Amino acid sequence: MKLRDYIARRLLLLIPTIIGVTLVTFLLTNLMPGNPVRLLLGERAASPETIAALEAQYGLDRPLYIRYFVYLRNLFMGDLGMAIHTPFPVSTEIMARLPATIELGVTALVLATIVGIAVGIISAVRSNRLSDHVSRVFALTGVSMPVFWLGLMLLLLFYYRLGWLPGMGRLSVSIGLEHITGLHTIDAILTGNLTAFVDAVKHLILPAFCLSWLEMAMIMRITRSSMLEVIRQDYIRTARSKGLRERVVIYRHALRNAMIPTITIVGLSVGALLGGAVLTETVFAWPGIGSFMVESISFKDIPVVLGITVVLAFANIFSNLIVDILYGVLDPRVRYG
Amino acid sequence: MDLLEVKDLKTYFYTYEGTVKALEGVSFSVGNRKTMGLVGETGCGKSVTALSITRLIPDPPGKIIAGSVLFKKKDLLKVSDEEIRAIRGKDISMIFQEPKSALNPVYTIGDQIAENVLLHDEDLKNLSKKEKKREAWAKSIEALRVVGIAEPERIARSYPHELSGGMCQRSMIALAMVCNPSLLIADEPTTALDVTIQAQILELMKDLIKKFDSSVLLITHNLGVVAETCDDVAVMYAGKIIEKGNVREVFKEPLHPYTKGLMEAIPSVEKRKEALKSIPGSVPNLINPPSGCRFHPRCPYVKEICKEKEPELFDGRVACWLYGGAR
Repeated sequence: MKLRDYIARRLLLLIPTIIGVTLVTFLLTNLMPGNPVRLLLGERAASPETIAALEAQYGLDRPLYIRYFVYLRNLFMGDLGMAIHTPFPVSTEIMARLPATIELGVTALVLATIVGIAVGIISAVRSNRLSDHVSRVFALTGVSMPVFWLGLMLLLLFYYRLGWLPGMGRLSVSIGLEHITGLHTIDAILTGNLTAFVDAVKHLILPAFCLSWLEMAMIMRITRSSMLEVIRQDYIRTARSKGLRERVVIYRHALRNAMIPTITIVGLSVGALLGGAVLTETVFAWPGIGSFMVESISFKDIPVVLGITVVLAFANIFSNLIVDILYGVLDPRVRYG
Repeated sequence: MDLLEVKDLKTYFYTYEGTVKALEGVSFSVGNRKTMGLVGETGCGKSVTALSITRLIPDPPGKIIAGSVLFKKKDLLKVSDEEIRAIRGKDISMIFQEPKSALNPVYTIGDQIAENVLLHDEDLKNLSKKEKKREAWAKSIEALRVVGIAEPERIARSYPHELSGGMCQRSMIALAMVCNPSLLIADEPTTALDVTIQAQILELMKDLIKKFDSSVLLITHNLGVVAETCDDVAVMYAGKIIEKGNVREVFKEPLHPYTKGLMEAIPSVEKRKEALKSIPGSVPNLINPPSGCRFHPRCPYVKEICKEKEPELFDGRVACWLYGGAR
C-alpha cells in the first residue's frame, strides 16, 4: 500500500471514532446524578411549572436520542450551547481559554519530547554508566510523583521561598499585551514586545515543567528501552560491518526503528498532558480550559463540561491520527496493516 | 604471505556468571583467493572469531584480550578506529545468517547498498552530492543484477519485508560485494534458507569469488557446504582450533576424534538402516572449561595426559595427544 492510501484510510477511520466519542461523552454527562435545572434555580423552592419551563428552554424535556442528534448537529456548526454558570455561549468561553491551555500543553509536550528522547538515547548508548543512572532516577521520580503535589512543591520553592519565578497566571498584571493569537509568547514575539515575552516565559516555566515531568520520564524510559532493544538487532551489526561511524549507526539505523514505540507514548502524552492540565492549571491558577473545567464541574454546568470533554477528545483523536501517520512514514511495514 | 593471518586470538566475555573464554588462542590463515571453512558446533566460537577479525565484538561485555589479526600485513587489532572503519565494508565485508533481520527494515534494499557505495567508493569522490547519489544508486542496481536478481530496479526500491529470505540473502551478498572486498566473511550464510535456495546461494558465492578475486572465510556447521566450496578447513571446538588442513586431506582422513565424530554424524543414504551416530555429551561450558584437552570428557580415546595437559596443534594439523608429543 502506498503511503497516500494509508493516510486516506486513517482519515476515513476518523468518522466512526468521532461518532463514538461524542456518543460516549453525551451519555456520560446525561448519566451524572443531579438535575442541572434545580442547581440553576438554587435553594429557592421553584414551582414545577418553572422547572418545566426551564427544562423546555434547555431542551432537557426531549428524549435522549433526539437530544443527541440535536447536540451533534449543533456541534458541527460550532454551537456547544449556552453555559449555565456564565452568561456566554460555551464555545465563546472555551475559545477564550483554549490558547492558554495550548500554550502550556505545547510547551510541555515539546519539552517532554525533546528532553525525553535525547536523554533516552544517551541513557541507552551509555547504559549502566553514571549518566544512565542519573537519568533513570530522574525518570523514576517523574513517574512516581503526583502532579498536584509536584506543583505545590515547585511553587513553595521557586515562588514562595526563592522568589525566582512568578507563582500564578500567565502574565504580570502590569504588562499590557496585544491579543493576536492568544498565545502570549507568540503574541509578544509578533509585536516585538521583549518585556512581555520574558514575563510570559517566566510564567510558563514552572507549570510547563510540572506538567511535562511525568511525560518526559515516560518518553525517556520508552526511548531507552526500545533503543537498547534495537541496538542488539542484527541490522545494527550489519550497519557497523559497513564501516559506518557509531553516530551514524545510532542516528540513522537505530533511532528510526526505536522511535516507533516512542511516538506511541508521545501521542498518548497529548491526551495525558491535557488531562494533567486540569490539575496543573488549577494549582498554578492558569486560566485555561482545565481550570475552567474544574470550576464548571463544581457548578454542574453540563454544557461546559461536555464541551470541554469533546474538545479534549478531539485533541486526542487528532494526536492519534498524527501518530498513526508517523508510524506509516517511519516504518514501511505498518503501511500494510 | 597470506591475506589474513589470525594468530593466537583470545576473546573473552565478562558476564555476571563469570568470564566466558569464547576464544582461547585461535590461529589460522586465509590465503589469497582461497576459501577457508571454519566448522564447529553452535557455541564453539565461530561467529566470535568472525566478529573479532573486524573488531565488531560488542564491548561490553566482550573484549579481545590477546592475539593479532594480520590483514594485508596490518594488525587490525592495533589500527585506529578510523582505519578499521575504512576497512570494514570495503576490504572486508560480512554476510550473516539471518538475511531478513540483517537488513534494516525501514530502508529500501537500494538505499542500504548505496549507503555502502557512498561510504567507500573512491570513484565518487569528485562528484557533486546529487551525482554521487545517482551514481551510488546505479551501482547498487548493478550489484543486484550481478547477484542474479531479475528486476534489480524494482528490488532496489523494495523493503526487506517484501522479499523472500533467498532474495534478502542475495541482496546482502550484493551489499557485501559492491565495493569489491578482498575478504568476504560469511557467517552461516545459508543456514536459515531452504535447501534449494542454499545451493543457489553457494553457487552464486563461488561465482562471485572467482569473478572478484576475493578470499572467503566461510563459517558453517555444515560439513557438506565445506566440502563443496572450501579449499581449506579449520575445525573449532570450545574456542579452539583442533584440526586444520586442506579440505581433501581432512575429509579423506580426519585425525581428531571430534572431527571423526562430526564426519560420522553426517547421515548417508547408503547407511540409512543404521541409527544416526552422534557424539555423546555436549559442548562444554566456557566459563569453566574442562582441564587439559577441552574435548576429553567426550572423547572415546581419552588418556591420562588428555585430562592434564592441553595438546598443541601438532604439525599444524591436529591438536590431539594421539598424534604427538608423549604418545
